[in-house]
Amino acid sequence: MRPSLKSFRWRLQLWHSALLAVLLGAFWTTIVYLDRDLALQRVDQELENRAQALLRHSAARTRGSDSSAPRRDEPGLSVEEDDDSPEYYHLIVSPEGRVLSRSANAPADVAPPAFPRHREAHLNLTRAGRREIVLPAPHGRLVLVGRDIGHELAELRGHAAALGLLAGGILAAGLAGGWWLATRAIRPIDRIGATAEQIAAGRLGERIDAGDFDSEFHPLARVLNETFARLEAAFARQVRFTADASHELRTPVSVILLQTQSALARERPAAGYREALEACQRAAQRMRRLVESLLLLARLDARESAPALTPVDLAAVVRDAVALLAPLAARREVAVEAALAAVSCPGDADQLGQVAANLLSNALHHSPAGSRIDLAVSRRGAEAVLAVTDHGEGIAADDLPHLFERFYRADKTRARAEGRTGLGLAISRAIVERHGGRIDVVSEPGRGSTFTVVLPAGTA
Amino acid sequence: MRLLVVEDEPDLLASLVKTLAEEGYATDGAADGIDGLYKAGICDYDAILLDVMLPGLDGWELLRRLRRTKTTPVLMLTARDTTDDRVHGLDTGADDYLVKPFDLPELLARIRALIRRNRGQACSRLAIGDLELDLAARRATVGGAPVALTAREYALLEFLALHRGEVVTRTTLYEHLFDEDDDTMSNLLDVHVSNLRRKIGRNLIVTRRGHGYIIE
Repeated sequence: MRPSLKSFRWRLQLWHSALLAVLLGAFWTTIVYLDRDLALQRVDQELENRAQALLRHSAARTRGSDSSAPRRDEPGLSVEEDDDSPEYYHLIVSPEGRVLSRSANAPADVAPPAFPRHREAHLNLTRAGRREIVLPAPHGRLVLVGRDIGHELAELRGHAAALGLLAGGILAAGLAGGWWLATRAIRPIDRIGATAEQIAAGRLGERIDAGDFDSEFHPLARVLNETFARLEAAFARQVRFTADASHELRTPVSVILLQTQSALARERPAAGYREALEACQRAAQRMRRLVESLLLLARLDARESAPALTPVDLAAVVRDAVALLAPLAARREVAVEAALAAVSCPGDADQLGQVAANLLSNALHHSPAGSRIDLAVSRRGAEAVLAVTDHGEGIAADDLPHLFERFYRADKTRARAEGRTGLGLAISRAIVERHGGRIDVVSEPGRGSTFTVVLPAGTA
Repeated sequence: MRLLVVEDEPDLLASLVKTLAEEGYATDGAADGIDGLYKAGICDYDAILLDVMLPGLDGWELLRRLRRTKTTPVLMLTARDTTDDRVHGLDTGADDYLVKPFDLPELLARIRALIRRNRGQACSRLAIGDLELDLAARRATVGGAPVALTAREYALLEFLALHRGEVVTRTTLYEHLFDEDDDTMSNLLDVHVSNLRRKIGRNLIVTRRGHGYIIE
């Protein structure tokens, strides 16, 4: 993967390594500083002990010699060379700044200390890796004791280098761990992306396997999987709808082709041609019904023609549908009883009329001769209700959930023979749903069925 | 030749039966799968035209059940046109597959090919001595000269020619050549045979007393 600031993983890694580096740097600095402080304290303690010993020694010598003329040249304060500790050197300075005594091993560039304002220990680390301590001595003098600390400094540098290496190691391990974590963290995203890509490529059955995802990703994976499932179902419905539509159109086209080719194959009496033309006409009419229904459904699907929401008198709409289908009712010897209350609901009168006609025609086709169909329009709270009840054979429980699907026919032969398209209920549902309502059916096999349309009622 | 058409669309079934009858086939129709399977079981059809989407018993199931007992050639007629559907149909035991809407000449050609292949006849020209049958054009010639035959006479001649060397009983001939409404007790068959002999020569069709007819 090429590093890029656009990459979440690289940005994560960058922040992570910067933070780790700052932390490790702070630790390193603190530890090195403390280590150095400790080492110098130890040296200072040694130097102070040495200085005290020097002063005691000097005092003893002074008491032991002639004490009447202590201030002549102060030889008494000159300390003899201490052979068992040659690394120390010292310098004694008079209050006036004169060097009273200087050990032989004192480096040439050791300067007499400036006289301290306060009579306190005065420490400083001088040039060339030497540590020196200055202490007040009796009679206002100052004693300076020092030694070379090159060895300690080298040791400290060694410590710092070792610590640096350790910090580097920790940083490297941290970076590797961070990379691993970042990889792990974005793996679900990679997997989701790969699945989405396959689905986009047409493999709609693919799903995200969230089995080993961290729990934070489970809701996302679930939502996406549900969306994919809905997408697949919608696509399958569309494919089936297209296949069904083409199937429904192929049959009448077959009839027309066969009738015309057969009629034209040989000379025949006029009645023969008439028969063929009549069959062609029936097929063409069926195709027209089918094409009109398909177009209407497509328009309802596309929501291109928003229903003109004018107040519609539902009772009047139903009355029109009853009048329209009166001839069919008479032919089938079915009585239509209408109990219509004046209810108005906002909608498209033509479309609502089609719903009423579809439901009534459906009921007529399922009513035995001599039976009755009950039509009722009523108001229930803020809702307008249209109920169509037939007393026919009812609908099998297996068919009920599919009843409003396109091209679903509970009784295929009869519906086809009667020239119905299998789209009426699907169209009714699409129209009702566009009006913000719902359509439902209850049925009892052998007793009949009731279709109920519920629409939001108007204020009137 | 006797055909069975199983199709649930009434107009399509009626026109198929009528058209095939006009082509000289004795044709029966069935409007659903159960009736179709019953008819296919009790009668030896020369070919069956089978719709896939049928009420009662769909075409696939009908074919599966039919294949347990019969090897009748089956031509599937269907509105489903995907390759999967065709493969499924052929693998289930269909002999051919025709997608709706189809052209009548193609349907007739496929029916002829099905029947011919079922009789082990790869070519559509059949020669027996002087007599030559053109199975595609449904015409007969004797010594190169065309013979005028009625559809029924041609069907009888073709049936005997395709069963060359076999004795064909009168019952079989009635079953394969005549519609359900023809009167089988009449001497219709004798009339057709004597007309044929007059047109194509006396010696080709031999009568086996008490058995039937044979072209040797």
